[in-house]
Amino acid sequence: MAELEIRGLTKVFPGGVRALDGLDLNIQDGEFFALLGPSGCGKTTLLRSIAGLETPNSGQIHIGGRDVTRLSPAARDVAMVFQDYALYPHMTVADNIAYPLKVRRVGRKERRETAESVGRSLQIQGAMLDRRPGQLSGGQQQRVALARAIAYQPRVFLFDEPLSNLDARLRLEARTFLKQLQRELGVTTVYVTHDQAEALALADRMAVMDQGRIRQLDTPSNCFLRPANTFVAAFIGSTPMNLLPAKVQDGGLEVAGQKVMIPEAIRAQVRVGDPVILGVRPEYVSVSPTELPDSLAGTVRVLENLGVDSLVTVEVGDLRVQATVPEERVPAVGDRVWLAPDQRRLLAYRQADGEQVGAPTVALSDTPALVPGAG
Amino acid sequence: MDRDRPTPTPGPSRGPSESALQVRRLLSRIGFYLFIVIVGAYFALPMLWLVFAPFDAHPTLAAAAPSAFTLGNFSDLLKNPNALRSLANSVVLAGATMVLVVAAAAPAAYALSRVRIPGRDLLLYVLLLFSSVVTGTAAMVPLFLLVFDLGLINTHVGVILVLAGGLMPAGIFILKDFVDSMPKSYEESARVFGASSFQILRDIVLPYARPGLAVIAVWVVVNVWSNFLIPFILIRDPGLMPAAVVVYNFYTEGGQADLRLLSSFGLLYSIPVVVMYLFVNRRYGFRFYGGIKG
Repeated sequence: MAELEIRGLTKVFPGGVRALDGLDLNIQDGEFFALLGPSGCGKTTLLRSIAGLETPNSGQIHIGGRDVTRLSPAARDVAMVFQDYALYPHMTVADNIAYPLKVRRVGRKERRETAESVGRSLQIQGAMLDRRPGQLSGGQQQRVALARAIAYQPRVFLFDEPLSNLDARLRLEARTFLKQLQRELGVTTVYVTHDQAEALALADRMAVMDQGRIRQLDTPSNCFLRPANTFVAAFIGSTPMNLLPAKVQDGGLEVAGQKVMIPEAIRAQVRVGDPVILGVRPEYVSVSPTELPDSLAGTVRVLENLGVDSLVTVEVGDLRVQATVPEERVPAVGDRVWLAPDQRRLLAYRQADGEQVGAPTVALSDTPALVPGAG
Repeated sequence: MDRDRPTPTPGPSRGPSESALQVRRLLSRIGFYLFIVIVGAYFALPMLWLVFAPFDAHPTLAAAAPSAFTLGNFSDLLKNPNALRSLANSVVLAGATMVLVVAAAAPAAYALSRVRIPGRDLLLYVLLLFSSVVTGTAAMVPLFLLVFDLGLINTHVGVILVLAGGLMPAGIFILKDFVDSMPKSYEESARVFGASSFQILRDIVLPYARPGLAVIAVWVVVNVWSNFLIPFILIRDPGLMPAAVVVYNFYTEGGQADLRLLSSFGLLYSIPVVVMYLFVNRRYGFRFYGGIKG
């Protein structure tokens, strides 16, 4: 158990790809921390750098106050669970779980006991311990990989998309299981995923990454409700956020030739004539068949059934706005409707750099204050 | 098979074109089987000879059932001082070369698969090319001189070193393919758990590449077992010669091939290879996964 501190970490691959770009990050002891981003954003490189499988070009990594930047993976006390689980096909499940102990030259009897006790806590027991990984289901393999990481008793867990090889239903089960397990063990955990729903569900805090930088570092609910920039806004949420170009006018905002009220919180930050991008989640747009004050008129073009709700795509001028509506109030395609965004959930971003209106111009990420003398 | 055979009484509904098609199908099938039988016989006849001739008191070059059954050929063979000893020599040469090639090719293949050095693939191809093309007759004189200068002429060590050197590149090449097919995450997870390179090689890479090692081992043994040229050049003493060389000594006083000794020795010479094949196939199975990429 340890806190994790990353200072100015930069990794440039041969060929010039800048996977990590002066990255700062502070992960607290016992925290479940998610690294989220599209493929190629550097999240896996960051995880592998923490594990010691990649050597950064510059910057430092501290685990529990100890500088491990130049140490071998073995000396770092971290356990990693790989996307493909990396279970050794020629060893039994018990031998797989106890392999970290074999490396440390622990005796055969003790290894078996550890495999049994760790396995029991993850429902790997009985005849299953003597099978080969190839004879197990995906969910079982995933638990064996977790058991092996636990048997190592690391100070930090590193998870590289451990649920992505499971089918959808099993993934939800495994997610709940994983979160409970992490709570019980209390081990600092870094979890890499490209699935925003996974990050939102699991993490205490998360970092949304893009092109080797952190675009937002916050709790899942803040990342969801108040994305710091249009990148995060577009990336998070199972239905993507509406991002609408708008212009500030006296007493309101002009969107697609129509006028909506400007929320109080935004009004103070902008001047008349400023171009902005208005962000609002489909969940916070209400759809009405009759005209409402401060709403956008449009025509329903597409209807998508999401189960409880339906996603309605409405054409407003030359823009497309999406809104979710409950099942009893679903309009028909071609209906004329009025869309009213929830004023409290309306966000505004600068058109120039996509950062939230009012944020400092050079803000790259919402990193915690640097600890003096840490590097 | 029965399903494909045309029914002898075609139904009245069948048109003439359909029965013509069936005749053509039948003829092509007969032609195919005939071809298979001829090819099969071409390979089977020498085998048949090898099974029958050793037990024939007066064997000829024809593969026929023994006219007069006898075991006398074998007892005559055992009187030849070099016959059994040469088989033992072959076992020593094949075994030692196999151990040497496997022991050296495994770490070499692992290193070449995992370490990135510029020109690595070129190096491998050049080694492979030279070992398979330039050895043999072309390298005869330099090899002889080299072994002579090393003072290893007329020793098993000299033969083993030369054979191992010749087989090593292809062995490394085949094994490297096996190691290449192993996911990197196996080693990486072991490294994160603190395993050293040696532990990774012993616990993960070698067991994973075991079918590959078996393939290499069998391949080396078969190659050494049948190699004539290298021991023929490098060994002078008949007591040190392997079976492949000794087999050339079985002539009658008249200078003709002694078919009695030749056939019985040939049978003894081939048995170990067949037994080894059966054993390895049972033990490891010749799963060529990873060895040959489609």
